[in-house]
Parts: sequence; C-alpha cells; structure tokens
Amino acid sequence: MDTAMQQVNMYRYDEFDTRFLTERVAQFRDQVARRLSGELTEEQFRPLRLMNGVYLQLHAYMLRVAIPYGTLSSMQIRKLADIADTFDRGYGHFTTRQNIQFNWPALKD
Amino acid sequence: MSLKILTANHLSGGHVVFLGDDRNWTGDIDAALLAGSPGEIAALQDAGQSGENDNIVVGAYLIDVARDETGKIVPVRLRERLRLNGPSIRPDLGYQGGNWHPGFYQSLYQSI
Repeated sequence: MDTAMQQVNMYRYDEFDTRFLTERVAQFRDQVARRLSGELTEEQFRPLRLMNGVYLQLHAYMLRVAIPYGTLSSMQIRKLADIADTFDRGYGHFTTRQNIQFNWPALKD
Repeated sequence: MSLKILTANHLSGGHVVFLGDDRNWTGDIDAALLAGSPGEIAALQDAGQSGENDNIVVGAYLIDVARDETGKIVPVRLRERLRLNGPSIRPDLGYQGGNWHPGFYQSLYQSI
C-alpha cells in the first residue's frame, strides 16, 4: 500500500494522524453507543455528531466524509464503494468541497 | 376539522416514521393515528415524547394531513410529502429506488 502511495506521490498519514484518527473514531463510536442506549439525549449528542459529520436530514441520516486534498487512491475509493454497498444504497455523493457524502446510513452502523 | 398525525425519524435507522394506530411507529402513513380534537392532538404529542424518551425515535412533531380525492391520507405541506415519498430529484437514489442496505431492513423490523 505504501509503495503504491509513494508512486502516486500522495499525502500519507503520519503517526500523529493515524493515532488521532483512531482515538477520534473510538470516541465517536462510544458516543453513538451512548446515544442509542439513551445515556445521551439528542441535545447532548447533536453537537458531538455534527463534529463527526453525521447530519440528520429530511429523509435520513447523512454521513459526510472529508477527503484530504480531494485525492483518493484506487484502494481508498474501492473501500468507500464497499461501504456504500454494505451500509448505504450503493452510491456516494461527491460534493463541491471534495468530500463524499453517504445519504442513507443507519446511526447504529 | 384539521387532521394531524405525528411524524419523526427512527433513531437508529434514520428513516421517516409515523405514530400508528396501535401506538407503534410505522413507515406506512395509512396506518398513522389521526388526531382532530385538542385532546387527541395532546395525546399524539405525549406519545411522541415517550417515543423519544424510549430512544426509538428522534425529533417527533405534528404535521397537517388531509384526505385526497380517493380518501387517502396525504400530508398538506410539500416538505412533508417529500419526506413521505422520497426525493423528487433522482428518485432512483431515494426511498423509491429500493436497494436498501441490510441495516435499514433490520431497523425497520426492530421496534416497529
């Protein structure tokens, strides 16, 4: 994976990035669990989910995934496609801000 | 007499639900509990509050509905009709398009 990234001269996560992401993901996973169990109310949860890109819209939740520098390797884009197939409706929406949005995820996922 | 029903989003799944006749939450508007009198409306709001307290739904609120020419219940506001029927742009990507992920079906059957 590293070799492929080097060849394409892409941005790579350093140790700090990776650690930060891992901790942030664990933290949000815990917050979601506490919301689903009722330990957190929607008022308490809303600012937390908004900081992690989870919006509650007209039809469903929406997950916004930020793409650093708007650049994706083939492997990354395939993984996003897998996520869309497994947890959403088989598509993603690339925004004008170079993010990708999933329009139909379940909170529990 | 203006008719109202209660709508919300399913907490875990995110999809649109209505408070049903049997006081459960359903995706089917035809099964929604209708309220006309102030007492019935207050009862709807109470049920919405308890749905939120029980962590089944989020953001319960009342909407106006009416009967169309066939007698079917339809929401009055366009916003609510969009919420019921799915997006009007790219309906192949909306509710109407099918192809739901497994978690969606699971969340439908969980507490409805």
